[in-house]
Amino acid sequence: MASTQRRPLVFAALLAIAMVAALSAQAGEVKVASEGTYKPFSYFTAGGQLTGFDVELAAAICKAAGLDCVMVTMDYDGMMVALKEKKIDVIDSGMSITAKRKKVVAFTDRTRTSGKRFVSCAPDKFKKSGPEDLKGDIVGTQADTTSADYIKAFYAGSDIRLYKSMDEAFADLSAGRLDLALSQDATGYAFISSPAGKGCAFVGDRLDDPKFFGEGVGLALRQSDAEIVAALNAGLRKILADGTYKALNDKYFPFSV
Amino acid sequence: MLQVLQFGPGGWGGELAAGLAVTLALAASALPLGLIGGLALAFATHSRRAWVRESAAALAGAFRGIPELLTLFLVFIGGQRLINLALPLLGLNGRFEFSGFLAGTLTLGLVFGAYASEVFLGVLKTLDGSSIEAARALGLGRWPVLRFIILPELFRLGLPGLSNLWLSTVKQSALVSVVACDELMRKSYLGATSTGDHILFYGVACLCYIAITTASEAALAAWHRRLSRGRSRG
Amino acid sequence: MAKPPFNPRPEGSSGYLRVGLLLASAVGVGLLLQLLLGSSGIGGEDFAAASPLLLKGLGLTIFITVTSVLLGAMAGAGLLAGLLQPWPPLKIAIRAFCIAFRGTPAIAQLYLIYYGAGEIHALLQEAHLWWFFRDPLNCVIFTFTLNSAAYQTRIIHGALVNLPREQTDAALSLGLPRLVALTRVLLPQALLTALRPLGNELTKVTKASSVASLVTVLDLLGTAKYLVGQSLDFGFYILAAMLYVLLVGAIRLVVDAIERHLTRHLSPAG
Repeated sequence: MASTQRRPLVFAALLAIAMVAALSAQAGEVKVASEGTYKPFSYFTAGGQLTGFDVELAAAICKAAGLDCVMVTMDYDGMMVALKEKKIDVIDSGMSITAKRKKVVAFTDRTRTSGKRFVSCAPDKFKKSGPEDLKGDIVGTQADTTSADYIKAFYAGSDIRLYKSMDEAFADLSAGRLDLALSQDATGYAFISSPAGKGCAFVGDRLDDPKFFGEGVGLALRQSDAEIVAALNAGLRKILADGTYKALNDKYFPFSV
Repeated sequence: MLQVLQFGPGGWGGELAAGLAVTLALAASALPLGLIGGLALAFATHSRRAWVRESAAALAGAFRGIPELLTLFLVFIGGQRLINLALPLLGLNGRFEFSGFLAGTLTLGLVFGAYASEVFLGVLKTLDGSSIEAARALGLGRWPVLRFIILPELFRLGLPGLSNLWLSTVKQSALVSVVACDELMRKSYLGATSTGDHILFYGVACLCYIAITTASEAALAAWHRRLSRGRSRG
Repeated sequence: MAKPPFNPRPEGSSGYLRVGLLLASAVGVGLLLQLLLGSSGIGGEDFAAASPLLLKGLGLTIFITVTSVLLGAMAGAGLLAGLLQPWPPLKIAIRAFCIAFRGTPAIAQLYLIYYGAGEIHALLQEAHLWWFFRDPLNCVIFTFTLNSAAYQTRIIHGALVNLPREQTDAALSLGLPRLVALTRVLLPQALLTALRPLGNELTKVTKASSVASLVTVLDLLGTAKYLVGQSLDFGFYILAAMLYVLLVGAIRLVVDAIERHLTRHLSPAG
């Protein structure tokens, strides 16, 4: 039967396709990971283009540092493990610089501040945001973040929901599955200004207790990659000095991040 | 609303189509792995050595019992770790990225193989030795007997079961979206999250999957009919 | 009569052997993975802190599975009844439903229902249905109920259709009303054939329910994911894998035992 003779060839061909598609050995590149689902810091446009403040910032820093950077996306909850396993080299996902994290990873200098605020889509109902005020309400944020640690520490009386991405948390917020969401103020601002965030507003004051939220947001790398950290810091200083940072800041936000 | 889906830079149509291609590539790449794995497991179950038999049964049982999503995580992280360990041992200096696609292919292949072994075992039980005896009487050696008698029969009789496995594999490929592989489900997820039109994107994705599964089912049924031509009672 | 070319495994391996194999495969694969992948292994205190969470997750997985399959069976019975009516539009609608839910991945169905409900939450609120879809767990159970209903309908319908014609003819010629013939004669036989596929359906839903972890539900996989995120030690995934293998294996054993018991009146080897 002819097909019996063809079949092994077909298998071999399929196997070859699989191997070729999978092989992506590269050397010398620096893989920078962001989420792709984190407006306005990292998101996809309609044409499938990855863009956002964090993405453009990382690109600018790399260029100033003379590094060959490749932007990839992955879910936030897999990033630390991926960094450890050398799948990626830099985490560019709004990670706050905390003492706890510094034990496991190395951070660059601060790329932006990391104040957090609560957002609610029923702002008349939720005027205050203390732990007592939110007892029994549904509060949510992204899993494995400093916001998550904060909520778990102080809002144990509320129903806590942890999401894979901040975009998902905001989707549930505007759908009414969440009463309040805790996020970085820039993210919250972007959401409130978007059509999905109509009618939503900040609740309560800015939270920036350094004990929880660290000294700002930075890029995270493996501790063994000290030279890359130094190179990125040099690049960061350069773009702060020559106005590239400010231009990028103004492009995305009406306030300084 | 349909404007969002148009092809070209303004709409997500092109992205979804690309995702569809990757979905098909994932399933197609898993297929040879799964078939070979399933055959190997099925024959191993008939080995004379007890440890081979029991290991095969344990492996198959494990991959049939672990949810595919969890297997995917294990392969994704574990595979990367294995590569990281192996490369220095082999003296290679570079870096190998264990991509989501590779993890997806391996996972789908492993699960396919675990279930395919059951299909093949069931078929092997019903085979009688008459055609094999005839072939041996004609002087055919072991390998030709395998290739021209046993394997075609296994394949023909196992086709219904294997067809179901193919359909499962196509559907399970959607899980690979979770490890950032750009197939159809992930593209729909990105589009939905970006535009807020969840129903539109997931609805279109579902329609695509229905199209693939219905077409596959029809094609496989036709193939089975053709293979069973001229035989009484399969 | 030609001798079979392969020696089939001896029939009737004892139940203890099966349980032993099950435990061995679960533990063996777990150890092998730990060895190969160099996971640090779960330390004593971590395990003590984690086990109540994992057990809670396991309980939730079992709850989701059992609820979805039972509700799915009820819905499936309704769909089956509809299929047997001599009314084409209803048959077409039910077939379309089955094609939709059997031809799409569970994750796509879940996202469609969960995020779709969120998108039209205003409409749902007006229809006084939002309170249901608001809870992710409800969405998961709703999705798997519909999903399982489609599969169960197909399984039982397939079993019914494959019954020998003589059974229906005999029942009707005895003067039994159609409904009695259906429920007292045909369905019991069909259910016997359908036992194995229904058992498969149960294990299938057990595994598929793990996608609930993707919409903030803390089932077994969701809990494991949370623990791995906190500790950066992916040994929790291996632990969860072992628990799933044990769970699915236990279900398998129970279903096999039921099947053996119910078919003991049949002669061996068919």
